[in-house]
Amino acid sequence: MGLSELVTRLEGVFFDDSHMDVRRSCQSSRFAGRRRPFIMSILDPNRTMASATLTTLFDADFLKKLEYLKLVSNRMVPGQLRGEHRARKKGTGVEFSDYRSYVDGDDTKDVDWKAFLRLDKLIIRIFDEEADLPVYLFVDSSASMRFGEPSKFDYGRKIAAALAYIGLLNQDRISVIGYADGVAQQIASKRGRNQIWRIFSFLDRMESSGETSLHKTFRAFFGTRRRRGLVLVASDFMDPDGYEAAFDFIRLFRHDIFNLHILSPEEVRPQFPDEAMLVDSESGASKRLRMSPSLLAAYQREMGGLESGIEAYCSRYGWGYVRTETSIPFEDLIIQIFKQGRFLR
Amino acid sequence: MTFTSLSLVQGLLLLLATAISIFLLYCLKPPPQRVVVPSMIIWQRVLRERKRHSDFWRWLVSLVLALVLGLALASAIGRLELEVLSDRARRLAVIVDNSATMGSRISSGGTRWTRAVEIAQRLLREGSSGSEYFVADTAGQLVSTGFTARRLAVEQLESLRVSLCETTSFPTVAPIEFVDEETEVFFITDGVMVPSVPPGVVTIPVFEPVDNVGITAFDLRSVPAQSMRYEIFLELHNHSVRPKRVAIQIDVAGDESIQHAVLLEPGQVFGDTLELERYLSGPVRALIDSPGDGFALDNVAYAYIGMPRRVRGVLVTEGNDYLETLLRLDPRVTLEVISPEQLSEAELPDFYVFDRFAPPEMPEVPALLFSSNSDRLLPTRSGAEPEERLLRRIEDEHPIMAHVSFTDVVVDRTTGDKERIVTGRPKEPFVIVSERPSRWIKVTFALDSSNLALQTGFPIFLTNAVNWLTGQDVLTTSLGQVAVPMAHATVTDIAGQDLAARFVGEETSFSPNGPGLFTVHGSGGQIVVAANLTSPRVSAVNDSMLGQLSESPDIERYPIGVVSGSELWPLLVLIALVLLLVEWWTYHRRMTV
Repeated sequence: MGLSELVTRLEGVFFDDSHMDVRRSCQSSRFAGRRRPFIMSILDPNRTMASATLTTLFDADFLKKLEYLKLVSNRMVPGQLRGEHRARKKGTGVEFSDYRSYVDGDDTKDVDWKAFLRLDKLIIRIFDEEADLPVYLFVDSSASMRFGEPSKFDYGRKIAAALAYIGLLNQDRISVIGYADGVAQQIASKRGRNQIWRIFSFLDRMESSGETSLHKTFRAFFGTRRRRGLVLVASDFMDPDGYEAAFDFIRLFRHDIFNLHILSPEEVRPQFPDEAMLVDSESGASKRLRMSPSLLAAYQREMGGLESGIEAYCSRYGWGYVRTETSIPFEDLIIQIFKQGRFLR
Repeated sequence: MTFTSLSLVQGLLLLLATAISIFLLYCLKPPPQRVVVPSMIIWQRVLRERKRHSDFWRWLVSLVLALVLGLALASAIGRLELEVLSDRARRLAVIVDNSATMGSRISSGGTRWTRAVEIAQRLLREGSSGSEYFVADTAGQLVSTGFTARRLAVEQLESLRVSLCETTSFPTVAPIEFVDEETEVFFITDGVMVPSVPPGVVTIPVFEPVDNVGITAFDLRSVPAQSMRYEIFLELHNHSVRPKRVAIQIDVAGDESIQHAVLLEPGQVFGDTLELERYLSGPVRALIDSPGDGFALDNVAYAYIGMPRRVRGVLVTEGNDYLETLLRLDPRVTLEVISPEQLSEAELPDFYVFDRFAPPEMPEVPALLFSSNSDRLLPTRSGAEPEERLLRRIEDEHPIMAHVSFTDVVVDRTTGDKERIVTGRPKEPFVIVSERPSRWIKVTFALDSSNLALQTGFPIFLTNAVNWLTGQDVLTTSLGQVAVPMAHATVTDIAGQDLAARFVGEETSFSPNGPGLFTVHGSGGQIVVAANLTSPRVSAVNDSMLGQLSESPDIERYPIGVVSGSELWPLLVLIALVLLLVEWWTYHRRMTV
């Protein structure tokens, strides 16, 4: 049984009427101050069938780590979830924000009539509009991401899954986009904790192939109207067109950008025979090279130049940037991302 | 360009094969390992920034390096020489003394001969590739081919062996006789067998005194007038510079060995006679042993005793009491006397004695004829003059003449037959012997027409004649080339091993490889050959004209074991080694993982 089937079963658990008591149980326990993590509910020893069918990508250990990350996030920002914030625009919320004088065109239902009677002046009550934050998780699914052990692709998917989980818990609206030479696969924006399995299922089914073009992806994705939000890009940035064009494009939309640069130790510190035929995993192009220590040093310098270039760009525009290797445990990386403060406020 | 160890064609073929092999190996070089990388973007940037070197040029340089390396090694194997790098062209004549004494051991462990060969090889390496060389020896083993290339000269030198002949001499061949200023003649010798050399010849001595006690005489013969008894004569000579205690051992087939020892002072000659008391037959070997003996060829000698037996003889005569009495005195002979008319009725004996009578045809058994005027009995009657068709050689040393002298014999008249004259003159032979169809001896005069019967040696002559007619053939000879009068015979040594033989006319010749007994088998029977090196001249291995030289500038001039500077192979090997290191450092050194 694959993860897809597992997710289907779990959806049945959460949404089927026969299992509504479970939801209620979770909710009631939450309101009772004994909030039981819903992700843990499927790890209940009594639910052995569900736990036994987890895939290796999102296995029980992974889910436990998610729960750990959630606790960490709560500890870092107690009582405040990222999605439960006030929008800048004033709107139709229920929480009073301020008064202002009435001007033509204001909705008369917002007029504070008691104040008019007392002050003989039309005053409008202003309420903060509570809005969810769109979070766009771009996962590079090009062929180059298959490299490494574990692969960069699996690593990126785990990061995306973890951030999606945290985001859903924070009532954010999560979109996951797999991209290569354009948008390859995406799942529509989801909100609510129950959507985590759909996202897991989506990530599990995601496949990696093709060349990389972040610029084409952004143009395709943000070509339609999108709410401003947080954009996370998990990629190795091995883009033939470079990252600059894509960053210049996305910068215009004033999103909050966070770049996660995923590398494998094998490509950071490559070990080749003296003479090798290098084959590009994306294009299939090959090149015969005679390796030498100086050539490898030049490669590492160039690789470092790519990293520092991206970091400098992000720093210039206040974006987040984290460089990681697949050998680093992903939960450590998530905590590092949390510390940068974009997911937790 | 020449090659010392190969012909020019062989050398060029070797170089060509090497080059083709290396090129093919380069073409067959396996492709590099495929390594999949996430992206070539970084590598392309790296390669753009680095100075590009074409793989083809890198491959080509590697190929050239390998070719130079391989060709250098191949040239070193072929011992390449280039005229421009060599010395001036020279004409070198190297004469090597291969007398028997050159087989003497020297202090370095080898022999004078091995040392001479080393020096000769060293000499042949001298000169440039355009030099010419001539090799000759004192025993005449090499046929002169004039000055040749170095490679052929080296091959000729390597084909030479120590000769066992007792006579050797400085070669008198054209390339040496007509020495000009461009020709250098070197003679490598111990100065024993060839005591003098022509002027202008540079002598390189290899003499080194050695201890030697040798058998200088070993003879075995029947006691005169006592055909059933044999005596051995053994002579030893101490040529060492110090006294030597010599153990002597004489082995007689079928009898116990006779052993004794003598102490010989330097230069002392020791002679001993030993009588064999029993009727014995077969091989006899004399063996001596002295400590530190450096020349082994004269430490052993062989002889052979023909099988003694009783024989039946028939004397065909009209009446000759003296001859009859003498024959009856021989204990081995059972004599029957018949008249010529009774010849056809008599049974075939072991031998006939015809007195002043010749049968119509030569009998099938051996015969002794006295003045039988029997020219018609001779085996070949081609019509040619008797002297030309029959006369072969005078053999004063023939066994029937042992201890016999015809000096005082007075002969009234002789017949004119000639076969093998054992005494007399070619025109007037006294005794003629032949071995066809069987052995016969013809005395060309009658006993009553001469005083031979009155000579003291006549009984001995008669005994010798009966021994030769009825005994087994034993040929005692010196080493070297041995010729046996037997056509297309096979030669075996005492161990039963066949020896290579050459056939010239009615003779079979062979070269004994040392003292020993050899059996020659042919259609006419078999002959035992006892070949010994019992020569006082050969045993005197220290009697060298060079013996008094305290130092030899020639040896210092031509040191052994030093590689000549004119040869390129050490340099080529060095170049190959350097190129090997360069290629490894440049191409094959592990640089990454």
